Amino acid sequence: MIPERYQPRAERFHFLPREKVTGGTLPWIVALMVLLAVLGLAAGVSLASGVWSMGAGLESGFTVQIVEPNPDLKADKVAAVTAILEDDTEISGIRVLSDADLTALVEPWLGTGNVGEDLPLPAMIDAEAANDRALARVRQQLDASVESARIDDHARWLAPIGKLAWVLAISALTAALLVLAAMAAIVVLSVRAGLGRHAETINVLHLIGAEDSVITHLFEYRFAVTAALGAAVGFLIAMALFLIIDGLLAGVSSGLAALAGLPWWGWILVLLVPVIAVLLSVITARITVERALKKAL
Amino acid sequence: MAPLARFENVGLRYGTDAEVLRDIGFRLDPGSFMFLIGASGAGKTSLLKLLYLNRRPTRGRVTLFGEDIGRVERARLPAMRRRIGVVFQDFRLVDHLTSFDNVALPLRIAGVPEEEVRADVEEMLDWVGLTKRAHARPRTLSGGEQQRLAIARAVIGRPELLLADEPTGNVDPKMAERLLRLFQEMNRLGTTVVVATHAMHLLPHVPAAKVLRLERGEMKDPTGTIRHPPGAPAGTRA
Ligand SMILES: Nc1ncnc2c1ncn2[C@@H]1O[C@H](COP(=O)(O)OP(=O)(O)O)[C@@H](O)[C@H]1O
Ligand SMILES: [Mg+2]
Repeated sequence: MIPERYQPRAERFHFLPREKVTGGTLPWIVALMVLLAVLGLAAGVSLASGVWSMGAGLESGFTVQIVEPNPDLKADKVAAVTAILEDDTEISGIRVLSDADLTALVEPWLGTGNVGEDLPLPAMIDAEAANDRALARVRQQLDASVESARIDDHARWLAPIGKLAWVLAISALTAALLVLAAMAAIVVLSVRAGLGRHAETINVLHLIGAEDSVITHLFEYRFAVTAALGAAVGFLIAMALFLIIDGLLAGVSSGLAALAGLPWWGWILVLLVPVIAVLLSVITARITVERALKKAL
Repeated sequence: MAPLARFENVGLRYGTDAEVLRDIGFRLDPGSFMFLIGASGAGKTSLLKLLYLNRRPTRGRVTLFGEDIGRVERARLPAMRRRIGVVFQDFRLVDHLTSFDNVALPLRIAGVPEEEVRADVEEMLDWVGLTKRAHARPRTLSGGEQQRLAIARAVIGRPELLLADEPTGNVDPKMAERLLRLFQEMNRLGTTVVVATHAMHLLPHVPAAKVLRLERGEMKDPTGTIRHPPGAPAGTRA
């Protein structure tokens, strides 16, 4: 399957018996591990990035609340606050919430139809600040000039959501790493089994002058081919699953596509999984063989 | 002349067992022929294991090619081993390889170009009379054929030191003499030869050989190698 001239000498000349790459369970284990790592990572990352972008949209927003029972005074104060906000070039998206908006906000708690004229609702003005300095400036101005106006900035409420996104991303990454570590452990067992199976031949090779590297290269090569096959299969299955999930989600909501939800750096992480799986298999195989061979003279 | 190998007060034990070799001391000159004799269990194979770098001595000093093998770095052993050809008592042929590939193994391990390998192996198989069995697996060969194959693999790399452990154990007396002539031929071409055997009748065939006799792990003649056996029992002569 690999042209002979790209094979190590030991493989080309059959120093150890040929073994089918698909023989044994290792390729399937690698495939399963890569599949799990890719799925976990993609799910975790797209969830995290969803939460992040949701937060980013709201983070710059703030609400000015004016508690004033007298409707005339309330109107004056709203006008004053709006003027201050409009004067500031770094404030945008100013929107005075109508009574209907406010009623809709409180109805879930008070019950539909229970919000009457006699219930004094505060006035609310939504806006977005370009940066924290603009927000601080507005806060100062409002404190100085409009009594009973209070700024509620969304970032304060969104801080836990930001943390949640981090926890999601780090958990996904940790899970993927643990899955790859489990794969490495299985590679160790598989290499040891191979060394055991060929112990007699390896002993003879040593006695007639073979360097450890002859045997190490052979194992590296075989585990590279096996892991590459398994990783490719696992990765393709993961991609197929994503496409199916995307198809299903498209019917529910266009905004929820799993693949579309993966940011560019999520794609890099996901693509790295099969590469790391192969590299890790090769390095693990080399270290395991080297250690085992060193025990003999 | 610096000895090719030198043993000084050498002891060897396996694990925590009693020593199987005790106070072994002798020198092996380049170009010499030596018989290592002794009953089964006397320690012949163990002594050869020290020479083919399968074991380090547990006591005393073994010097080979000028290196103290008790101390030489593990990484240097393969290069030293490639200067040695070994006919193992149990042959140690590689079962999944054909006769041809078994004989080619030492050359391929040493990285010899494939055209040379082909020519050398064909010549060697011809020399031991196995040309027709070139593509047979060792398992399908007779005991004598396996022995000749093992010898072919041991000498293909033109080793400086040839070690043969009971190399005539599986062949009839005629073949035994032929193989011995082959070793003598190698010896004439400059190879130092050590043949371990309990077949005393082989000794007279190589009059120039030195003899080292082991008995229960000790050298029978502590002064070293003896020029000629004091006399193999007449009944065991070929
Ligand atoms: N690998 C081993 N482990 C433990 N004891 C061994 C081992 N190989 C040989 N012996 C013991 O060492 C002694 C010498 O054996 P050996 O060198 O094979 O003698 P010979 O080749 O002369 O028959 C014997 O008592 C044998 O049981
Ligand atoms: Mg023996």
